Amino acid sequence: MSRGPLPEAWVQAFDGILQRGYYANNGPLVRQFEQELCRRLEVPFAVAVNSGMGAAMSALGVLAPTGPALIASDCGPWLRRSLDWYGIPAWTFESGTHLEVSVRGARQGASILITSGFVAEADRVAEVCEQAGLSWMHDVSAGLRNTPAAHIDICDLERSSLRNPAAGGCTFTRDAGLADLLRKSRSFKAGSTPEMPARRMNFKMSEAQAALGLWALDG
Amino acid sequence: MGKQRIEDLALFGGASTFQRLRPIAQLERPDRARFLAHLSRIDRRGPTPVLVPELEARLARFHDVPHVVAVSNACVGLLYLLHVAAGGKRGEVLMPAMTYAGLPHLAVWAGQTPRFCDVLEATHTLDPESVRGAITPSTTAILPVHNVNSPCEIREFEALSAESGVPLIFDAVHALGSSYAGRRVGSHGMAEVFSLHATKLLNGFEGGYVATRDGALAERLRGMRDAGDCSEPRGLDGRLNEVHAAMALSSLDDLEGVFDRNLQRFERYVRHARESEWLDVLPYRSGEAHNYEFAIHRVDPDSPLTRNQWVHLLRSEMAGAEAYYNPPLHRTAHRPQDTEMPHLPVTDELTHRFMHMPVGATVSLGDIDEIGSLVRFIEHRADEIAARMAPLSREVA
Ligand SMILES: Cc1ncc(COP(=O)(O)O)c(C=O)c1O
Repeated sequence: MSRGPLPEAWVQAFDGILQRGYYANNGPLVRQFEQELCRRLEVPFAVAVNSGMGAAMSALGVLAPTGPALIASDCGPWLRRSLDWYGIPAWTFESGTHLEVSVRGARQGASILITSGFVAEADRVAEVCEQAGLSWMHDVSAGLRNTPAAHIDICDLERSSLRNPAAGGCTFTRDAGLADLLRKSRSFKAGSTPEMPARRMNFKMSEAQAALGLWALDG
Repeated sequence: MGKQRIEDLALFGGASTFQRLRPIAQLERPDRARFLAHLSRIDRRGPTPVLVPELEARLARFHDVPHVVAVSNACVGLLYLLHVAAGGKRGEVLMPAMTYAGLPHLAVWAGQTPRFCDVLEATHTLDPESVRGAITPSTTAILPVHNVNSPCEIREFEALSAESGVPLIFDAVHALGSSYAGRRVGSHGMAEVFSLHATKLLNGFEGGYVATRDGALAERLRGMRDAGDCSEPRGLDGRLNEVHAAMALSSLDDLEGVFDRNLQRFERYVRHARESEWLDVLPYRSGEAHNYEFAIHRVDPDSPLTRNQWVHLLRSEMAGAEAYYNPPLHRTAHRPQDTEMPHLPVTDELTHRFMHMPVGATVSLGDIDEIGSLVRFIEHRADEIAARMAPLSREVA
């Protein structure tokens, strides 16, 4: 279906957008998309953004690691590049050894664990992170069906199985406080408070991205 | 129904003039058929963009510049440029304080410290002399912002950049279609950056683009925007997606119409301002082309109502007036705590004087007439209203 007629669902979705005249800035479709993701993944909070890197960078801003990151070898280069913007050193480890690595890494001064794909013994990893004071950011792009496990899970909607043709990203969390900060860090609107990440960015998802995200979820 | 008594003002319990907020945002709706036609040309099977290169080529022609790189928003474009300009150094970016609050964040992302300079009284754009005095060996970029009423003093900044060797990046978000010395902006300095956000002149939902004469720079920016698989060490996913490009192309098809409609609204505000005692409209620099995106009003210092009181009154009527770039950024948390408060007398004075009035596609000429009547009503009773507002929050005053 490369350039055949537009799918009817696209026409309907875009007609709706044109009628509402709401195009950007976390509009009704973005909220609907977030709710739909929450429902399907059984997570209380989803915050949609404009790209996977936007998701990773806002998650890092909110988790605010103060030391190196332990990053699994199967994490995509885009995840590593997100660390570069914060100047966070990356300690790469062989994926599949999450548990031992979290324990050892925390002792050596790491402050965040970054994983991707399938994590064996996710509950134990979460526990160990909690005990060792490590934050945990997990990339679920490879399998959106994995229920989120980390403090913040992130997803690149273009690289994920959703293959959103208009791209986008999302963060997921079970923590209301983190969700609030994630929401505020995708634009410059929020004022400065001591908890807010000092630098924010335009990471907003558009109504078009949300419309096609919803369409992809149904496909 | 016009207002008769002070109690008819929404602030004092009356019905508001408008039911729905009249915003300060272009929000142009594209022609449906044209948009769907562009949308249907997307190659929905493959990753190869079709519309983005087409949009880039059309914008390059529009600005008469050899290279345009489309990005996911203007902030991303500015961030790439600040990063490239810094060349791995940590230093300072010189920028106005009376501007968009996102700019200092971008400097910090690029590893730089924002340093605020003063603006010119006549145009509100960055003052080249203030910048000259602030250049030090650690300056990594000069970031002037073209304002809607007037582009910056481009020639002076180009001379300053040549003299000092500091890269010059223009934030041209509000200058799409504006000219400087008879030539459309877009080809000056190291690069100029525009936005495709729905509230701006070209509606691409979200989006932006960098215009430059420098082919090597354009190539580097393309590398940075494809962060996932590029060789550029400091990438940030910043591609404009094809759907946003389809929207931007439809909007570009009608850009002259947008400028015309903006001019009509602006002229209507000017007509009303002639009858106003304390409000007048900031003129557009004469002899140049403009997009007439905003109708910025100046509140006379003799007005019994302060600018913030005007904004409060109008907003309560759902006429979404807004203070124009207030507070200035040097008086916010954006000024690093360990730096001295810069002396920016012009900025400090101007920042209390101006407000935006509702503009864009959702504001009709009839709406502007209503706002005009409302302003006259308020002016006739300004002393009484000011007295009634005095006990309200000090913040408003
Ligand atoms: C002067 C200025 N620069 C940059 C931007 C950022 O544009 P974008 O929303 O495309 O990131 C804006 C947006 O309001 C702006 O007004």
